Amino acid sequence: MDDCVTIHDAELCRWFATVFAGELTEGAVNAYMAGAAVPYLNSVAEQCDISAERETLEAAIRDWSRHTNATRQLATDFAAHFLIPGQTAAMPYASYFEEQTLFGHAHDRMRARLNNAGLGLTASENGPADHLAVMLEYLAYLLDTNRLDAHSSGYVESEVLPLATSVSRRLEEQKPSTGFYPTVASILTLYLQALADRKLTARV
Amino acid sequence: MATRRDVLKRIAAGATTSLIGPALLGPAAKAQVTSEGVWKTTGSHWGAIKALIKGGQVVDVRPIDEDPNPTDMINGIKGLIYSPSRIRYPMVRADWLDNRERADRTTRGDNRYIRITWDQALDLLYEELERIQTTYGSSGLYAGATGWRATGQFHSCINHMNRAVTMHGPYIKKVGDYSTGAGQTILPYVLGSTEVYAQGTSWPLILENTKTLVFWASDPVKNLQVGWQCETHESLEYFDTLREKIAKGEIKVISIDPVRSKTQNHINCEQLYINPMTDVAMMLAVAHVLYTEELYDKAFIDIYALGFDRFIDYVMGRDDEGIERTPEWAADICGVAPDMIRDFARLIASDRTQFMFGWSVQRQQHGEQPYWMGAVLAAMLGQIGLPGGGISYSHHYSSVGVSTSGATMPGAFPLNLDLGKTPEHDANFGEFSPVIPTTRWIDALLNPGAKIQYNGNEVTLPDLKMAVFVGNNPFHHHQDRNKMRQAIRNLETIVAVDYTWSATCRHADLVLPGCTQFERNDLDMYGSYANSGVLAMHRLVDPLFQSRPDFDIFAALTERFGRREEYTRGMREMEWIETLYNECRDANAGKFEMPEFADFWDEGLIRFPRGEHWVRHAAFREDPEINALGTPSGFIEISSRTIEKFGYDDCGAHPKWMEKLERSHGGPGSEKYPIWLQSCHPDQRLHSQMCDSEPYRATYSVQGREPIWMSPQDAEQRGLGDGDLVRVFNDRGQLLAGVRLSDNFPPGVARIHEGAWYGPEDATIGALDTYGDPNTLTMDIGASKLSQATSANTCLVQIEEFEGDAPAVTAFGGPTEVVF
Repeated sequence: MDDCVTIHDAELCRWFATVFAGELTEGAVNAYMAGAAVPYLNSVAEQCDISAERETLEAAIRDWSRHTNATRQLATDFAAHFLIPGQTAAMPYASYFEEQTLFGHAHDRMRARLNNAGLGLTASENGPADHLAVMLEYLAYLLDTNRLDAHSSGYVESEVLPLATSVSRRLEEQKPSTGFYPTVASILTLYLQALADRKLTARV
Repeated sequence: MATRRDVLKRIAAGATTSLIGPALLGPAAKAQVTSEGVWKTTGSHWGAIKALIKGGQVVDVRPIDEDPNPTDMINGIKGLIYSPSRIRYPMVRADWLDNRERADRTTRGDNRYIRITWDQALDLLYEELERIQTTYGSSGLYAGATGWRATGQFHSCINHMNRAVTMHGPYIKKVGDYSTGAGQTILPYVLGSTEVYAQGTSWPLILENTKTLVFWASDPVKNLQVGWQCETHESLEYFDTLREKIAKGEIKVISIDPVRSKTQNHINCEQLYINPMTDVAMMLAVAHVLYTEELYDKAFIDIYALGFDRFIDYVMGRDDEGIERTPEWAADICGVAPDMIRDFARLIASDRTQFMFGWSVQRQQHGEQPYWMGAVLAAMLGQIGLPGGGISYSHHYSSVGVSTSGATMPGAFPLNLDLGKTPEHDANFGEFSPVIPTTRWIDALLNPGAKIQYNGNEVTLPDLKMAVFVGNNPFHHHQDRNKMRQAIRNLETIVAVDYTWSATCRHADLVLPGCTQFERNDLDMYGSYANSGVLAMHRLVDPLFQSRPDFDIFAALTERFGRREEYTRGMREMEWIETLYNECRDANAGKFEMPEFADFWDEGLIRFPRGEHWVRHAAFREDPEINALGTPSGFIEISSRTIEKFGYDDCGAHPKWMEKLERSHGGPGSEKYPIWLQSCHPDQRLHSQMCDSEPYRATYSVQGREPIWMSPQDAEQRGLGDGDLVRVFNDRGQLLAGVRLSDNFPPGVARIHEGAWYGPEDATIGALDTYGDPNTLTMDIGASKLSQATSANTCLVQIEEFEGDAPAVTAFGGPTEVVF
């Protein structure tokens, strides 16, 4: 086991955040096809059973080689899932699911958390703080700084996990050309549930 | 399980690192935010507002203290800004990006898009403009905004689009509009101006002098909630006075309308019920009574009008048709008893009478006729030009009737090229007409090269290849959605600039995110006609996501052909606003005091005193030769030789009753489709603006659908109850709507407010509209050869309970996905 790579929780969260933050670059697509996700999946698998989802994901990634332009296909999937709202879209904002609005109370809560931590969004655009990717990166920060228990009690259970679950459910209703995003969302949900359970156990 | 060696190899290859993107969080700049927030003032079609901004967000919106009658719609503004339907990034239809003019157009409205950068988007727009101009010439491009926009003199999207696109090359222009097309075409022949967009007699003079006020198909209390410029709501106070005078018996007010209007209920006036689309029949009978009982003002007719004899021969049956237009004749058509028609005629002739017409009545087949006939009745009463008498076609609009201050208002960003400048591409319209009636562009797509008549001219419809829509939504304001969906397949390229995923954007190939007016600085007229002041429009929040002001978008476009400096005149947003203000201040120097720009910007609103009361057409009445009307003769034209010479079978020498292609209450087509569907201006939106405001829409939608208002009798006959989901249909289309029952509606009459967003179940022609856009059902024919205006209110439908699982509403948010 000493020879195995352990991807820590914070890095796992950053990986998930990257997936939901924007379209995959061609470099990222090539990296996935070269097996770059393996250590991440291994680390998640150590915490929860993702065998079915992993199989689906790896099959989806293998399938990219059949596409003439996998990066394009993934970009259209990303747009359909996350950029163009609609009845079946999975807009990755907590306020969208809670209140059918943008910049709602979930954004306020998230912004308050970031302010308290002295953090802000690096993007130049005026976007909300309750984006799933931002929330995951903040989770990574909490994990990195060992503040998850002390300062952010319930953050996973009451904020990130519900959003990830909502996004995942919406994605399951869609029919994308690749299964990449729905499957990663499923894995994320399982991982967050495991993380929440683990933290809860630790608190008990 | 990956080994450390494996991973190190991948890292060396750059593989693993590629899976982690740039940091989304970093150290925050010290935010200068107080817990109380800051109030900012701005304006809108719904009135001037103050908004509480906390942490860079709008958290509360209220009317300014000076607004005497704020509209409830202000409560929808926050939801508009933060709507999940916002367009967040430039998007392009994937298939179109790959294949351009060879892309599959049948999936428009049900597309797969990808996000692109602004540079990519603007390059694509420029490339397409260039391709169209070089391949097809000017006649291949359809652009220009039709309808409304967002307020603000500088950021007006119409101006920005027109200046920038024209700088590149000419395009097919439009004449007329969807609101008043028939009225604004006929009235210059009759009264010398469009009248519909003209200042009217001051309300205090009406309240003082009018004895009988007739609202003819007009609902001002509903429609005065919004204004073309920043609305002041100053005219609504007069309706409170009107209510008091009615209660005291000091004035008689009659609403002639099939429906008990919001205005009628507000002021508690009488209703004279009339069958839909039969106004002209009743008016002719009124003219018959006035003539036969010698109640008309012969002297006025002799001095101020032309063509009465010919008209009255028609009324008396002394023409080719040989039908005397008696009250008995009219009663069978209009549903108003003969005695009521006679009583009405005698009443309006007995003392000072003011007619106020709404616009819906001219949005029908032969829509010119009721407006013309209204002018004829007013001329017969001889009170045109007297205080509290005559006729108005605009008192329901933008606080018309509030006295004009006389102050000069700020100008706007230039609509056209600067003097002496020419487009990159020369005009080249070939055999096609460079200007078409605004509502005939779908006909052009379906029948390029066809020749149609319009206002005395022959128009050759162009062969359109590309459309650019900026800040407007033809998938709301045009009629017959299924015909439209078929037609746009003939467009190679559709570009839309908007802040929200309207149906127009969902059918576009290239979608550019403009920001809302609340995300930019501007200034505006306070009051469209009263010139009540100048309003500073402070940016409430920065543009959301990657949206941009139209100024920035089109400046960047012009940069691509080297004319940015000319476009912007070397000025940025605040420099433009200050320049426009200072020009206004200079023009008012010595007459109206205006502070320095910086003080104005701090104060937010400067007011001017109300001007003198004014009477429409009074100058003409005083001296009809010196102050001649703009008609061909200079007089009121009861009959028009000019129109007669056009030789049209649907708009002749004088106003006439003409049967419609379809009409309820026993008219053509009513056996199959017995319900008249009116699609008048909404009570809780501005056309389609604000329909995407989720919390506000939730206050009026029914089961998530647009309400259809109908009578309890019609509902009972169909086994329907309030709140039921129904399918509304005819041979043109079908939609879902939620039932609202109201005694305001008589049997055979239903209403769906226009502006309800279109959301078809799928991309097929004829698909069920899942939200309730009434233009899924309306007829797309010109009102006549004269105006070629919309005939939206000539529309019959059937209503039935919707059975089965209701499909999800697809109108909001964006296109649904298809699987390749």
